[in-house]
Amino acid sequence: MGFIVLVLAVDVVAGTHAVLIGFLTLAPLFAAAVDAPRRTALVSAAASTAAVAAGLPNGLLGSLDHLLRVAVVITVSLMAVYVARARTAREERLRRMTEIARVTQAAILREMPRQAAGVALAARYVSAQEGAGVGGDLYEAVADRGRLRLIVGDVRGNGLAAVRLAAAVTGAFRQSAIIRSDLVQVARDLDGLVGRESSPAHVATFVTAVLVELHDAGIRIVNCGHPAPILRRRTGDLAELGPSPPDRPLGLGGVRRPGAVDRWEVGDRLLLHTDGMVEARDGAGRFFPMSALGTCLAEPTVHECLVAVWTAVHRHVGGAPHDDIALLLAERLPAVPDA
Amino acid sequence: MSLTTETVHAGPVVRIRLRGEMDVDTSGLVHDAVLAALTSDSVRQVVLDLGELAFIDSSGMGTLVACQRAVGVGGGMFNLENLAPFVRRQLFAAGLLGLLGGIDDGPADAAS
Repeated sequence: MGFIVLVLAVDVVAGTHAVLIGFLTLAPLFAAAVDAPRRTALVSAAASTAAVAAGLPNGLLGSLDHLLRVAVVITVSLMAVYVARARTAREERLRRMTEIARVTQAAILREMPRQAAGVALAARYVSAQEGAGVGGDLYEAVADRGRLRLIVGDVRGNGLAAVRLAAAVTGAFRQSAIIRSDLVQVARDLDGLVGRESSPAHVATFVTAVLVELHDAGIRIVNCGHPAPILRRRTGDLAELGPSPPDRPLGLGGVRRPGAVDRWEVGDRLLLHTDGMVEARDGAGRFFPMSALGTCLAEPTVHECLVAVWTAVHRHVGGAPHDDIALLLAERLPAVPDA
Repeated sequence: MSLTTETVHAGPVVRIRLRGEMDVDTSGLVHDAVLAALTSDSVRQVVLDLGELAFIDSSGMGTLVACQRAVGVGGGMFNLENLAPFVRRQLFAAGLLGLLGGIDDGPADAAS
């Protein structure tokens, strides 16, 4: 609107006899790019009126020259309204798609219980595919008979096939984690599931994953080709847990070793993550440092810890990370006497 | 990222030298080269020389597994050799070093 007044003012002051009214078309065009259709129509009407009015001061009103210029302004104005409508319709569609993707993701990755089997939990997932919100990273927690089993995994590849497999693995884990008494057997079940998945000839399908069983002070880990879980002691010490080297990824068979039982104390925190975190690089190609992680995991609550990790990774990369990142943090809570 | 392959036949052994980076865009070339090597009936062993492979991601590792399967179907042997530290570390961390042929699973330099 201000622009329209400006063009008119310049036109009158400079005495250019309505030559400048062509510039009035810029106002509706600009509105079409950023405003809603209704507002664009308003601007268009104003521009058209201004174009007519511009003929008044010098008596050009009605001359063929003036009429032609006014016709141009009106035509462009109508086009602008049309463009604004098409644009907002497209934006609305995109918004709906993003919402569908978000709901799909939520169906695969259910919301974590804040607390289960004497353990506080928090999880966070962000897809690298801008706006998609869906990827091949997965996590799940299953509590049963005072024991908590966790999984964090990463499907090789991306796109719809990866999302589908992530959903299948998560579902199978929910089932298997309750039925199987041995964590190794849970891993074998998932191994079979992924192994049956058809894959393109030129690249094998596999899923890297780490399975964790928390039972009072004991931590058992089966690692299937996945980055090792990180334990932060209440004292601030950091340690990677689980067998090294890990077993093969899920889907490729081979031995599944249970690994030694580690101990954790009340207040200790265990972070399960995907390689998107440790492989996040800054401008100079440096990986996300462990030292930064230690500080993040010292926040008062597990939820705040993950927010801190997320913020730190963002700051390190200088924007959104290039890979999906899934984080699952568990903290051992003081035992509550049975009521 | 780019990748070139260079295939050298020596009797029953085919040695394919990879130079560059193996990722989702370039890994197909490696699979193609391995399949091309297998078209000759006399080939009993395929060796991938990774001495000048600077980078590998999960797609690349999936492709190496697929190559191994393709060679294995015909009863042939599949080996990797001259792994650069980064590639070796990636395969070690993914638990694939033992699977992919002819190399000890020892942590060696992989822990760094």
